[in-house]
Amino acid sequence: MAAGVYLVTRMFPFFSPDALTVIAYTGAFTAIFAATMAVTHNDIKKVLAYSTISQLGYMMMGLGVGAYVAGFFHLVTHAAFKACLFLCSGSVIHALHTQDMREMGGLRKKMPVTFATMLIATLALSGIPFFSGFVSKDMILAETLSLAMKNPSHFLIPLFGFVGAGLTAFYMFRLIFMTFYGTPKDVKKFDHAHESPWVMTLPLIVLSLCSLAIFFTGSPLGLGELELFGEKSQWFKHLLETNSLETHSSAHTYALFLSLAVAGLGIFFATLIYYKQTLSAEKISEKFSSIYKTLTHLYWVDELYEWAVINNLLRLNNFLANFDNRVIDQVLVDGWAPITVKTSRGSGDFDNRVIDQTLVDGTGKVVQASGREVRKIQTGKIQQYLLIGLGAVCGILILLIFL
Amino acid sequence: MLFNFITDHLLTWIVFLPILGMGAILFLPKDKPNLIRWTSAFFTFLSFLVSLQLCWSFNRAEAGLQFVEKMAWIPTFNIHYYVGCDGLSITMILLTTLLSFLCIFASWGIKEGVKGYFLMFLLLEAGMLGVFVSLDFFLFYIFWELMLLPMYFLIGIWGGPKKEYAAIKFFLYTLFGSVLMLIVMLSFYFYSEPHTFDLIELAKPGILKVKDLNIFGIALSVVDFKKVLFILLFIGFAIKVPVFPFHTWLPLAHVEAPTPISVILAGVLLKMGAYGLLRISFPILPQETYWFSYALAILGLINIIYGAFCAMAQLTLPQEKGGNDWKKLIAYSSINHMGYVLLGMAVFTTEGINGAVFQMFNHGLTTAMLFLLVGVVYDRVHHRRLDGFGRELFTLVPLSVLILLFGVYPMPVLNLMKASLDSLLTLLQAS
Amino acid sequence: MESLSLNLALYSPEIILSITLGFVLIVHMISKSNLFTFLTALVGLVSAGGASIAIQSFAPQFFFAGQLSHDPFSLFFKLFFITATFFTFLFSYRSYEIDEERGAEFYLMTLAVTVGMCTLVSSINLLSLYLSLELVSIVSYALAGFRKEHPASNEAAIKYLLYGAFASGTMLWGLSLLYGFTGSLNIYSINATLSTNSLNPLALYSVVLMVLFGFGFKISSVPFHMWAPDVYHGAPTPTAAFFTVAPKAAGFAIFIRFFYTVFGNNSGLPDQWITLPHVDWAFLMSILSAITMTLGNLCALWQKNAKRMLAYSSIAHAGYMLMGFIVLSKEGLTSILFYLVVYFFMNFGAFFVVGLLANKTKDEEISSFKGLGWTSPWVAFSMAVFLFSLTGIPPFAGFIGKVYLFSALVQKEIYWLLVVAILNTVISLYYYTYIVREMFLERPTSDKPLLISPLHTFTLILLVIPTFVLGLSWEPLFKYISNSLQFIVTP
Repeated sequence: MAAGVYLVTRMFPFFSPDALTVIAYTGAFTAIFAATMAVTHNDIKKVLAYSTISQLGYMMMGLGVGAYVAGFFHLVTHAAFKACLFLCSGSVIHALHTQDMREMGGLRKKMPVTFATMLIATLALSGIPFFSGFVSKDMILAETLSLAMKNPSHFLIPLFGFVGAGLTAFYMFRLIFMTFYGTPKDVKKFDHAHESPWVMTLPLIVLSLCSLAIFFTGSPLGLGELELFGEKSQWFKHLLETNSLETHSSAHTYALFLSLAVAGLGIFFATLIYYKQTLSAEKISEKFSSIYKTLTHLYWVDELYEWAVINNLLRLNNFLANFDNRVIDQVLVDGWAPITVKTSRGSGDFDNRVIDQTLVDGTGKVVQASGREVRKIQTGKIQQYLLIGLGAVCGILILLIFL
Repeated sequence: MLFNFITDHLLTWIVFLPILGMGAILFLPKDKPNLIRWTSAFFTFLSFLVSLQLCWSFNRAEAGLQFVEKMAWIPTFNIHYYVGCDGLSITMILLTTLLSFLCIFASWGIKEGVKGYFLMFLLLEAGMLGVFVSLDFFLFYIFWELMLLPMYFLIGIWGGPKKEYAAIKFFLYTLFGSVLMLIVMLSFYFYSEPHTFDLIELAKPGILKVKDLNIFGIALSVVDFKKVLFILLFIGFAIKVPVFPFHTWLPLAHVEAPTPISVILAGVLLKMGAYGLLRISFPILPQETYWFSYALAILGLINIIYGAFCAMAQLTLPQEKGGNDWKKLIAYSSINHMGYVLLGMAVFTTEGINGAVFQMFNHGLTTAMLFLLVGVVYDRVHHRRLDGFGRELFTLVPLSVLILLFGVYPMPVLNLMKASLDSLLTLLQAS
Repeated sequence: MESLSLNLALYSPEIILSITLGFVLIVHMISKSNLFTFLTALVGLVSAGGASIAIQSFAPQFFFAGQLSHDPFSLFFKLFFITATFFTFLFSYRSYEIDEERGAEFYLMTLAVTVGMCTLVSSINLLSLYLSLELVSIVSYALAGFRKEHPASNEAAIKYLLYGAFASGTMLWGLSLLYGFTGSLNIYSINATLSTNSLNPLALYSVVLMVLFGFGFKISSVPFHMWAPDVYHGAPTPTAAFFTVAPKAAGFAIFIRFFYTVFGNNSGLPDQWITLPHVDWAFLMSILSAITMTLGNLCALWQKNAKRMLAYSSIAHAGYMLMGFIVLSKEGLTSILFYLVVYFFMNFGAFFVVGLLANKTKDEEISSFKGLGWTSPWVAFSMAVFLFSLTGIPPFAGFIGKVYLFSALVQKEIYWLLVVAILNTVISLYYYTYIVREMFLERPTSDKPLLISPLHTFTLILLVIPTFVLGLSWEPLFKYISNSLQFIVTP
């Protein structure tokens, strides 16, 4: 995944503003689209997977609006906390032998280390101060906001970005609450659960430490200048010798508060629904059943795929495979073999027969044959010899008369 | 004192040591073949040693000719014994002395007429070396032709079943090429002002003053006439390279010649054509060469593709149609490889010519080894049919087969790769 | 008296040869031993050679009332003929074709031919020219038929006689026409008249062609070559060797002297000539030259008899030498003379080896050469040297000869003839190597070496060494020949 972002970053100087805009919209759409999908899923790993897609969307969005440092920085910070999250989920799955969050709950006491590290990573991902995700995501959002402030027609980008950020906080805390709080849904599994051994928890601790803002910025709050990877250290400046499109505007301040607000909102709703349970998830889903269905069915994307694939694509596939096998491979590719063999035979034959036997030896044969013919004038008859001599003298004279 | 005497005339020593060896062998009794063999090995080794000394004392930093020796030979015809070497010839000299030395040992199996064989072999070596050191066209020509005689005997007497046909074909074909060269040589002499055979002198601008020509009322301007001269010279060299369609002597001669002579043919003789182009055509007729370079590139490409196909025909054609012969396959692959050399030269850049020379040297080594290998295999199984080897070949000579076959196929790490790549890359640059 | 003794002194080589001729007869009558007559003949030749070297110190001049000319050109040829005769005698001694008791006869006739040739090359008068030419011819007919018991030899003699008579008759007709046109027998005054009075070109052309018949017959150039293969084939091998070299050289000498003096003029540039206006015999001869070499080589391709093959090759070589003739420059003439010397060694050498082999096998078939390289390597080696030299491959003398002929053409930019000559060189390689192939590439049927006498070994060495040495260091010979080309002495 990182490769794609890296590639875009590396190629950044090559992109025209239009191309960048397309990248920004693609990123923004991906960010919110994947985030919404993550909201309804119950599989712990799937939630994280969609979250990853969503975060990549942020990175792309950052690159698209010209904040390549922010985008790339987010890639780096994201790498740490997302790795931590996946490992934590692994630890949980290891304990419960299930991936379904509806069968989890109340693991906070049983798995304190996993809980603590996962909480840190979740906070980072949700963009809470003191954590690395806050620093990078805030930078991206600030850039999008400043872009929209300069060019209001692009208001969708920051809108998607902030809504996406809210959703991120929501589904991440949903995950936390469903997994570690409440009562264990499956008692049998819960009884078996225990904290993972240190070989599993140690990486979690390390990665969660890396999710702290202080690790990247040098300031615990994460509001200061970027110390390690930021402009101060000039790392990215060296990477990309380009006229920076970055803006250092007041948008930063708005964005800071705005992102804090949406994150808080997300956490608030998550708390309401999944911790306090003042709002019932079922009721909401019934109320907005069409939306819920759409979301649980991942916008029907799979169905769309299925329809397209089963009905048409597979048929096309079969056809193409056949084509590939019969035409491209057997005729066009393997066909070269008999052609080459034939050509080689032909050229070998040509070389032997035409060049060697006809042209080269033929010249010799012509010379020999003319020798054989010419020799015949030597008949041994002296009269003829004299006639030739005299004939030549007379012949030349006659020729000279006419010339 | 003696050392100085040698170091002052290094090139002369290199060329004439084999001839001294001939003198020594002449006085050896016929019925002591081993003595004759070791004597010729000794003299070729001496020549090789001297050429190593030459390489060692060759100043790489300095451009131009070194170790120049110039003596008047025929003053009334302005012919000089004029030898010297530069980076181009030193490569070829080293290749020749090395291969000659090795081939003496490959010739150990010659049982019949040992004395004559080694006399001819040493004469051949002297001829080849002479070509690579001569800076006087006349001297060059004499050495060039001198090589034909021993080659005729070596193929004709000690060759395979069709040796007589192969020998006379080689002789006639190459003589045809060299007499065309003779025309050009004499034209150069009489059109140069002052008359000279000196290749270095001829290459200086303004020395060669070709005039308009009129043959039976057909006017030939200077430009066209020089092109004709170039073509004549080119055919002379093309037959040696060999360039399509002047190549058919080569598979025959390679197949019929005894193993060490195939080695010399492929390793050194083919290089002489390319060497001649670089030494004579390029400097003396640069504009004409440039005019011809496109055609040269195309001929090189034909050589590459056509040679490859013909080599492959050895796998696809049955024996009675002239296929299924390992030696012939390598012979055609030589045609293919010399195509790269032509291509490298045709691009007219330093890199291209470097690549060509590098390719010449490497191909000399690799093909030589392949022929030696075929010789070894032939010695064991007494046939060269490609379909007749099977697995037993790998049990006979396992590793060397692999290494060498991959050497001919341009593969990284092995030497031909670099040279082929050089040629090709410069072609890309030029296009 | 002073004048007479001077004249006699200038004629001394021929006189010594004539005296030798007499002595040979006397010694033969007294001793009956072939050895003594042989030695007498050799001594006579050596002294004649000494005489011709000695009279080089005399200034070039005409003598015998303007009949003959004393000049380096004729002296060169006299030495050439004497050397050729010398080698012929060495060759003929103990040859199976020259009987012991008839040796004197052979020496006698060959010496007579030599006297004729020596006189011929110094002739500047039509009369002396014709007489000496006839002396050469008539004795040659007898020499060709020397082996009376052999039908081929008799056939050769009669063919030679008939053709020769016809040729010299035609030539005589041409010469008399020339006399009629100009009223003079001296070639210089004929030339003076021809250059000042404009004659009908056609009449002059017919004279040229008629004279050409006579001279072309001597040098065996197409279309007057037809007799040559039959005669060379039938004649005894030493004689054939002699014929292909000496009378051919004499023919070239008189050809050059006559045509360059009578039908040519100095072009104003030093050592350059031009033909008489409207009579472009040089161009005519260049075409004949091309045909001669091509025909000779093509016919030689199919010969199975070594002598016959060499006969055709000698025709081809006449064609080569004509290339030097048609360029009308001193370089061309030098190249002819140079080539003649080289040609002498290699062609005579080739005939010599054929003769050596024939002494054993009694025929000259090429198949009898089979395996000679394995039984008698040195003889075969010498033969290979001669043959490769005849082809014109370095480092042998024949190559240098060809280079000079070719360079004469290049200097005059006659490229078409050069190309013809060069292709002919390649063709000729094929049949020359045919013998080489038999000698080396074939294995012998029996491993008995060829036995040759020490005298013949010595002769062979004398022939091989120049063929080698002249290919590597020809400067002295070239200088000598350059100095020999002062034949047109102003009276």
